[in-house]
Amino acid sequence: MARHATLGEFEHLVLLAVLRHADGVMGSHIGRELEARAKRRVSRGALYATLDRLQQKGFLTWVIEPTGPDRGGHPRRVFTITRAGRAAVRQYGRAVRSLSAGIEDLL
Amino acid sequence: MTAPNPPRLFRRMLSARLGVGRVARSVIGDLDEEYTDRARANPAAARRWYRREAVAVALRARSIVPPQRGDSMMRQLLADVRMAVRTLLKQPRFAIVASLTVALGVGAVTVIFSVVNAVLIQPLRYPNADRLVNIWSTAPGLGYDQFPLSPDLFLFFRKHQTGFEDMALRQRGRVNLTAGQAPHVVESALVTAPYFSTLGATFARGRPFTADEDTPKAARVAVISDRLWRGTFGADQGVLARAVRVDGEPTQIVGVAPDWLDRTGTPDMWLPARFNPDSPPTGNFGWNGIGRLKPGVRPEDAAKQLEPLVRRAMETYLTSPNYRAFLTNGQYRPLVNAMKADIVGDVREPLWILLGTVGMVLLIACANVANLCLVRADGRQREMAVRLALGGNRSGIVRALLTEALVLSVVGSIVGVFVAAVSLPLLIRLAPASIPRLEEVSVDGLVLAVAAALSVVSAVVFGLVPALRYTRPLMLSALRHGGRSATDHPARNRGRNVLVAAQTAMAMVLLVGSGLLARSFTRMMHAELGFDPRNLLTAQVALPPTSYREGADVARFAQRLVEQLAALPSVEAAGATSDLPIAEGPSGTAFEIDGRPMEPGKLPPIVSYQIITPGFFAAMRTPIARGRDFAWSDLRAGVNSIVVNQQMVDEFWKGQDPIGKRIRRSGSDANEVRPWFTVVGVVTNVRQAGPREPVEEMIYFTPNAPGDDQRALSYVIRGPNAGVQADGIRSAVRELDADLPIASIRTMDEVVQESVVQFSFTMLTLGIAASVALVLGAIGLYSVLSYAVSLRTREIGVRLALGAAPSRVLRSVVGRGVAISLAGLVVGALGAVGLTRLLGSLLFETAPLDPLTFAAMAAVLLVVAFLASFLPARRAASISPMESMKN
Repeated sequence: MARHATLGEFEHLVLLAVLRHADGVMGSHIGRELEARAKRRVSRGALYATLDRLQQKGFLTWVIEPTGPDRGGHPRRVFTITRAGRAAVRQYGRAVRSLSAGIEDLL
Repeated sequence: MTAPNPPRLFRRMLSARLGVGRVARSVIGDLDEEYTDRARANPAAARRWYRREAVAVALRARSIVPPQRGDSMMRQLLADVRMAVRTLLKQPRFAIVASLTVALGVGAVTVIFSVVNAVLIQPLRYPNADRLVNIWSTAPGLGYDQFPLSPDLFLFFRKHQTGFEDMALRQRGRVNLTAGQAPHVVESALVTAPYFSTLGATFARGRPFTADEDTPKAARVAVISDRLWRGTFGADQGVLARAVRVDGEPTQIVGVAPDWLDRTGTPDMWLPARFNPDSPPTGNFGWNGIGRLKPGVRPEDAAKQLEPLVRRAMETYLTSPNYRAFLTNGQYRPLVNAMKADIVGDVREPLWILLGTVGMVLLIACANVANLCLVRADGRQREMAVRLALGGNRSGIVRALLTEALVLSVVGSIVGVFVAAVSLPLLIRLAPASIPRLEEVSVDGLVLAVAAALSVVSAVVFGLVPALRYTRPLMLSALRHGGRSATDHPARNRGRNVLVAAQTAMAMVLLVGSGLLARSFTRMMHAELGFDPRNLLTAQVALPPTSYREGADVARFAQRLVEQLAALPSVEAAGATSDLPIAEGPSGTAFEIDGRPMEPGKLPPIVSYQIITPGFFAAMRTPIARGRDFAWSDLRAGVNSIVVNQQMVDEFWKGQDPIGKRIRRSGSDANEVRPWFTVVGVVTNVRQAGPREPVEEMIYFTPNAPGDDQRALSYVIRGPNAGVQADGIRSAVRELDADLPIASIRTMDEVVQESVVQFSFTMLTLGIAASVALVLGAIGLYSVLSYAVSLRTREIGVRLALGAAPSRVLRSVVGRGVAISLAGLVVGALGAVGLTRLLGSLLFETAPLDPLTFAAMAAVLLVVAFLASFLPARRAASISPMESMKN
C-alpha cells in the first residue's frame, strides 16, 4: 500500500463517485455517475485504467461476483473505497478548501 | 424488443486484447450491459458509443488488465486455448475438415509406428533379451553365407567357450501326439537340456529338462507349451502325471513352459535332443544354436572367441577327410548374431519403407490443413490488421494462431490415435504371419508419445505458415483497403500453389512406389514356376518310425495311398513328395558322378534333393523334358533310378545325354557301401524356393532309395473340387492306418499366396497410402482453385461481360490447375528416382526406374488433377456477369 500516494483530479472524482455508494458500485455505474453529475465525457478506457491504478494505490478494493444470464454470464466487479481512500479524499478536500479560503468571491 | 448485440468485430477485438481473465470479462460485461441500456434509447448512437469505448479500452488494455497480476503461464495458455476453441467453434466446418485431415495422417502413422515399435524397437520378451544370440555357421569359401550348426562342433564349442553364460541347440520338426483321443500333429523342437535356462524361461508348472534326461538311454520326456496345455489338455492340473504317446512312444510330460513363450513363435512341444556326448552326430549342419552372452560381451567378440575352436576341433577329434576338407576349403567359422536382428531382419526394410510412406501421407495432410488455414486467415485479415493497429503485438497474434492450430491438431490426433487403436487388430489380422512379433503390437506409451509429438509438430508445420504470413507489417494495408482488395495477393497465391505442388510431388512418389510393387507382383504371379498351382490340393502325412521302420515300409504306404487317391472320382493325378515346392526347403546332398573320381582333399559337389513318388510330376504338371517319369516298378528293391532337373543337366552334363548316367551320394565313411543311381528322366526346372528365388540343381529319389529315412510326405492331388478331395484324403488315410493324423490340408494356390503374402501386404499398404495421398492432393488442388475462382468472381464476370468466351475461362482455370500439378509431378518424379532405389530389394524383375510405371502414374496423376480442376473451372465459366457485379 502506498501511503503517501496523492490523488489526481480525475482520480478524486472517481473516488467521490465510489464513495456515494456505501454497498459498492460497478465500473459502468461510476462512469454514468460521473457523466451525469460532473457533466463530462468519461472514456471507459481511462476509467478502468484509473480504477486499476487506485486499487494499486490502496484507495479501492474490488470483489468479483458471478452474475446471471443478463450480462451474458460475464461476472460483475464491485468497487468499494478503503480507509486510505477516504483519507485521501478528505485530504484532497481539505487542500481544496484551504486553498480556496479567502478567494470565495472569485470562485 | 431485445437490443441487438454490440458490433461484432469490436467486441471480438476487445476480447482478443483483454484476454479471458475474470477482470477482463467483468469489463466486457460492463460495456455490454451499458450498450444494451443505451441501445434501447438510440441503437445507432449506442453502436457509435460502443465502438469508441471498445477502442479506448483496447488501447489501454495493459493498464486495465495488467499481465503481471495472477496470470501465470499456465493460465495464459488455458486462456489462449479457450479463446482458440471459441474461435474454431464459430467455423465448425473448417474445424471438422481440418482435424479429420490431421486424424487421417496421424492415425496412419500411429498404426504403422505401432507395428514398427513392437517389431523393430521394443526388445524381445525374454529376460535380458539383448544378450541372447543365434549361433550360425558360415563357409564363405564355398559360397555358403549362413547355415545352421552341427552338434559335434556345437558341443565342442560349448565345452571350450568363454564368452557365453550358456548355449543350446534346437531343431524344429513335427511329431504325432496321442493324448487320449485321436492323434494329431503338433509343432515340436528337439533341444539340448540348457535350452530353457539359456532363454531365461522359468517354469510355474513342472520343470525344464535335466542333463540326465538329455542322454540317449534316458526315458522319454517332454515339455509342452502353455497353449497346448490349455488347448489339448484343457488346463489339466494333473498334466504332469499324464502319460502321452509321442510318435507312438510313451512319454512323460515334465513341465509346462511359461505362457509368454507362446508369443515368441515357439512350437508346442519340446523333446530332449539326447545326443551321445562321446559321439554326437558329425557334419550334420541342421541345428540352430542359441546362446546367452556374458554381460558386456558383444556378439562379434563371442564369434571371435569361438573361431579358433574350429581348428582345435580338427586337431582333437575330426578325422573324416571330407569333413576336414569342407571346413578348410569353406573357411568355416561360426557366426554370432543378436537374436533380435535375426528375428526381424527380413521385415526391417519393408517396415521402415511403410513408415516413411505414411509419414509422407501425414505431410500431405499437413499441407492440406496449412492450405485451409491460409484460406481462413485470408478471411480474418481485417481482424488481424485491427489487432495490430490497436497495438496488439505480433507475437500475441502468432501465439493465438498457433494455439488454434494446436487445438485442431490435438483434437485430430486424439481421433487419429483412437481410430488407430481400433483398427490395429484388423490390420494385424490382415498382416502376413511371416512378420515376426505381430502378437506384441499395441498402442503403448512410446506410440502415444510419438503421436503427441506428431500432433505438436504438425500444428507448427501448418499453423506457422499463416501466422507468419498474416502478421507482417505489410498486411496493414488490408485495413486501408477495407479488407477486400488485398486478398488475391499474388505472393499469397504462390504460397498456396507451392503447397499443392508439394502435395502432388509426394503423391507422385508414393504412386510410383506402389506402381513398381504392383508391377513386380504381377510379374511374380506370372513367373514360370515349373508347375501349375491351380486345382491342386496338398496334405501332409507323417509315418511314425515305430510302425514304419524301413524305407520300404514308407514306400509301400505311399504307393497304396497314392493309388487310392488317384482312383478317387474326378482326380486326374496324384503323387507325393518329401519337400513341397515353395512350402518346404529341400535338403542338400554331396555326390560323385560315375567316371569322374574326386580329387583328394577336394570337396564333392552339393545339390538339393527330394523324394517323390510316381505320379508327382503328372499331378504337378511338371513337364518331363527327356526320358521318362518314375514308375512304381522303380520302387522295387535293387532298382535305383533317379530323375534330375534341367538345371542339373546344364551344370554337370552340358552337351551330353544325361539318360543312363550314374551318380552316387558321397559319405564321410570310406567303408560304407554306397549304391549307384541311374538317371532315367529329366524334368523342367521347378522354382522350389518360390517365385523370387533362383532355380537350383535338384535330384529326385524314390521313397525306398537307400540312405534316407523321410517319413513325412506331402501328397498332391489334382482335380477340380478341393472340398471333396480333402474328404477323400481323410477317408483314404483312415482306411490305411486309423492312427495317422493328417497335417496342413491346403491348396497349392494357398501355398503360393502365402509365399508372397508379406510382399502383397507391403504392396497393399503402400497402395492404400498412395490412394489417400492422391485423394488428399486432389482435394488440395480443388480447394485452392475453388478459392482462387471465388476471389476472381468479379474479374471473371467483367471478362465475360466484355465478351470473353466461357470456354476460355474454363481453359484458363483448368490450365492453372494442371500447371501446378505438372510442377509437382516433375519434382515428384525426380524424388521418385531417388527414393525408389530404396525399394530395390523388394522389386521382382522390375527396374526401380521402370519408365512404363513412371509414365502410367504420371498419367493417373494428371487425370486426377484435371478432374479436380474441372469443377471449379466450370463454376468460373458459368459466372453470371450481372450477379458478380452485384456481389
